[in-house]
Amino acid sequence: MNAAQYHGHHIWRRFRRQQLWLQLKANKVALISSVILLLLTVTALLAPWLSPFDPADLQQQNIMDAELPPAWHEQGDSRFLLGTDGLGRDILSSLMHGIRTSLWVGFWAVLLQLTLGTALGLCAGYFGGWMDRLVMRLADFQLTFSSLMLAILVLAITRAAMGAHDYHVWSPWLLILVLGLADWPQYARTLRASVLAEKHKDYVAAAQVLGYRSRHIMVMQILPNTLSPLLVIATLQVAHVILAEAALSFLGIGMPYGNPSLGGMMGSGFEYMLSGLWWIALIPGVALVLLLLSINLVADWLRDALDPKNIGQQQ
Amino acid sequence: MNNVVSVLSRLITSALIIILVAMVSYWVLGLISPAETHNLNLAQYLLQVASGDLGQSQFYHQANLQLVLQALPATFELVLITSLLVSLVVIPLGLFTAIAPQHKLARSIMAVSLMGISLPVFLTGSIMVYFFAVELNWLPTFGRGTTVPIGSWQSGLLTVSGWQHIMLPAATLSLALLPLFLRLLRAELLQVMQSNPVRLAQAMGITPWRIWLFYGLRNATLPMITMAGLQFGTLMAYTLVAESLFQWPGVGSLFMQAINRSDGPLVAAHLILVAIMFLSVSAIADLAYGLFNPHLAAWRNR
Repeated sequence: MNAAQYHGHHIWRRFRRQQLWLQLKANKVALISSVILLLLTVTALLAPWLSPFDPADLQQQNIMDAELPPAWHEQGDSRFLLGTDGLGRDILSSLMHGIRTSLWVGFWAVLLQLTLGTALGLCAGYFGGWMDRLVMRLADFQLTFSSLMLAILVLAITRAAMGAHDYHVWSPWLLILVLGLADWPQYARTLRASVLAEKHKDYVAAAQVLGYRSRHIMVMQILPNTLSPLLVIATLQVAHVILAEAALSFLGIGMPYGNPSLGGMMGSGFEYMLSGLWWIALIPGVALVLLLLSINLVADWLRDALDPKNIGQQQ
Repeated sequence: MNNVVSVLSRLITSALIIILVAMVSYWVLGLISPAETHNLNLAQYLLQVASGDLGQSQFYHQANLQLVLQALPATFELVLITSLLVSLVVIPLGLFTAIAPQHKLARSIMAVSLMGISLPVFLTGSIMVYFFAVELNWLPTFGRGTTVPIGSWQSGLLTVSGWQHIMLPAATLSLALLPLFLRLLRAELLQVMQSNPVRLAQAMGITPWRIWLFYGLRNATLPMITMAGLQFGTLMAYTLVAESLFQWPGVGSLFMQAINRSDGPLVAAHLILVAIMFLSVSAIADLAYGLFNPHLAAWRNR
């Protein structure tokens, strides 16, 4: 087994040897937040089967049920555990589908970011020269401009150009595409730094002498040794993308109205809140914070757990 | 000589970026309002932009530049009050958490700020509106209140109603930015406190307050300026969300209205103005960096 393989599989090896699991058990905050995250994810995945109502089914909506407070409230209805929104839709069902939407956008956008950022970072670090300068310059520019601002501009303009109706046919895909393409610099920067540290090591030189192609060396030899920081960034970015999706949907340029999303629910609930109906906007808000906080805390723990300095102490 | 070259190259890059953005905004104009580009080709449009004419809004029938300039005071005052609030809270809290990192209160402040990062600006805004406007009925939730003209500047900071109106939006925006800057200031201060000059100062018996303020805070200002410059896009996005939440009649609201009304010329004008603002902010951040950085100052005076 060569050095690259050895290091590359160390995350899995440590999972197998239960070291990560033991570390997780020792850290209360991380344990609780990963349980919450797991619960939210399972709820989201099973939303079509678990949710009491189908938010997309107009037959199940009754305007007579509109604006009902949560069930524990004295005017609440036991059919609607978390109350109903202004159109009589069950908030619990919309919430479950909304979390599903958030995680779905988060997953695909981060996958896209990871691919793009990894490719650019590897090339910048490995080839150096003008490629490095160009990629890093673009990364600076993108970081300063911020992915959220770019997404707002691109999505808003597309919406104005297509009209609200046509736009909402495409907006879920567009959202993933924009958030996925805009947020690559963090991966690229981190990876570039790791590649610069790795590329003068002996195993790379050996692979070069053996005549492997650059692509093979980059992907099969160097990349496996730089996976840990990428994993941490990707986890953090899921929270970032979910937050951006919520903000865009809140502004009315993200997910379509019929498609439940946490930000969209908060946006449409805001007006009701001005007349005292707090639950329509605040319940999705609490769910969003729970989701973001649990992802951030898990990422925080992952960073410490995968840090080579801490690994040394553990073994 | 080196200075002249760097200033020149910066100017040329900026000009190129603005031309590029103007081309994009021409394309956007054609996408949103095809009729507008019917009798106007790209070259004519670029010349128009270069002469300072950003076209006319389809909805307001007024010059776009004028519309944006009218909305600018609202945004500027919101940002000003927000940054004052943030500095007022962040500096004492940052100093405290850096001087006594193990103190119970300091640790809970940092824990709360970690949670604060996960709090979206529109949620804090909604909660504040619910408590202060709906439940307690203390503060208004939308608009700017009464404004007083100072020359061509409509200021809301001279009337009681203006102050009442700015409270919620500014507090919301500050709460969104606080955790970010608090964590940064604390990290910087912790680093500065370990540095040799500070240790020497401590050994010489200089009073702690003097060390914290003149050695610590001054050296930690630099990264904060860089950070604010680097995060300008995020700051702008947050301001836009806060403005549309509170219907604050600033540039962000104007842009969202232009989008909702498919007002092509106004959207295109916004793109160019945002690019110009961006370039100026990064130039100002660099200049400020030069002013606050003692190394650069010494190099300049040599």
